[in-house]
Amino acid sequence: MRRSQRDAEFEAYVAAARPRLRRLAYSLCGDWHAADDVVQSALAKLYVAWPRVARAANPDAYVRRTLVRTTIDESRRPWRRETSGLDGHDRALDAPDPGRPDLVAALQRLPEMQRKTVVLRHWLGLSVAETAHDLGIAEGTVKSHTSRALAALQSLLEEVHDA
Amino acid sequence: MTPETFATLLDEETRNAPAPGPDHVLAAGHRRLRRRRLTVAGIVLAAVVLGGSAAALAVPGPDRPHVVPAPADEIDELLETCRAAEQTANDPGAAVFGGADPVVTNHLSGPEPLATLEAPGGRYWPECRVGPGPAFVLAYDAETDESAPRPSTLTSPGCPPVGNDADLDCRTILLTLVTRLPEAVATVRFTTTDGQQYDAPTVRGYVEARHVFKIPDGVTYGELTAARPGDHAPSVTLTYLDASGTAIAGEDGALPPLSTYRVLGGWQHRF
Repeated sequence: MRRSQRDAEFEAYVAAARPRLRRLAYSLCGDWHAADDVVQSALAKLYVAWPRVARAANPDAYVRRTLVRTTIDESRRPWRRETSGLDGHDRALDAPDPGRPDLVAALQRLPEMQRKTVVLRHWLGLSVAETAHDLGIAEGTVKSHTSRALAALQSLLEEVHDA
Repeated sequence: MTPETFATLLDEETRNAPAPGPDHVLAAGHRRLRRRRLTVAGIVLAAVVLGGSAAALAVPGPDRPHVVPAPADEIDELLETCRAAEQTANDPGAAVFGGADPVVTNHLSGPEPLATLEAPGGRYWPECRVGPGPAFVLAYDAETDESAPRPSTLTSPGCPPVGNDADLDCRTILLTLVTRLPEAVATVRFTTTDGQQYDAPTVRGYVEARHVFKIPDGVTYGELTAARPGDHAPSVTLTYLDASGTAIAGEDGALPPLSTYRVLGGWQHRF
């Protein structure tokens, strides 16, 4: 693929996809600046893989997977890399900054995998199998994380409203 | 909370996004593509030049790791910090400590010291960490049915940070593993693609390991990690050894898989 053609196709894709990618990244990391960094990084990776991904007609799935697999710890400290096999080792984040919308703030208080599964399953509308594939975890784990995440969010939002 | 409520609320809260910053996506893509090509070429060249001289790679020079044995008073201080963090938490899960002193099973020193403990009864094993940020405790459940097939390993530069930033020009990789395995696993062996090895002994199945691996000449940590598809960790395979030193599980296909000895700690809760 010639570079000018590659750039033109890529720019058209970015213009269309960037708003929804920013929203996804924001829901996962709770900070618009960090979200922009994560999206930029994911799109840069997409650019490298563009000929292959575009041929397969699946840039959305590729960039989404890249984005959600960038762990929150990695997005805060992008020099760190964690291998797979993380089901039991995901880290919850520090208490969120005040002033964030309630649900986004509550999401940041969940363990990483709970946060990702509930966003992928119930906001993006992915199936259990698709979510499991994106995150590299078992379907049963997706179900348990999703269920726990919804229960925890309910509790966290009640805390906020009671305070 | 129902899935529908969640979706509606999140949709509303993310709808009004601030304007994005300057668009450097295409330039970043160009840079990344150039870096990938250069790095892959560099890795191949370095591998050829270095050949099998793994022994020469064993000891890092100027990039000396910040890993040293923890003195006893440091462990006491670490535990005191985590105990305080636990006592200030209002989560009922803090009861895993059961009001009794946990047993220290292992500890690591350094800028982010940590210790694994064993709560009374043996089922829960808290991990006490300090940094980055405030101290916190993670408690794992050894009897979970959600164990990972492979322990999680974390990599970062083997050099101290430069100010608040990681040293991406670092020529070493610091690999960290904290987990609990069945007691049949006496040693966890790390092997890099270029043949460097490190053996981490377990203590009744508990293992905390930090080790620095050398990066081949001509490549930095930043370049090496950026060159990997998905930016995952540089490839380090794990092998489990029993007390006699016999390999009992591994990732090379010739041995039973690591999942034969399941990770004892699929559930975690942060205090």
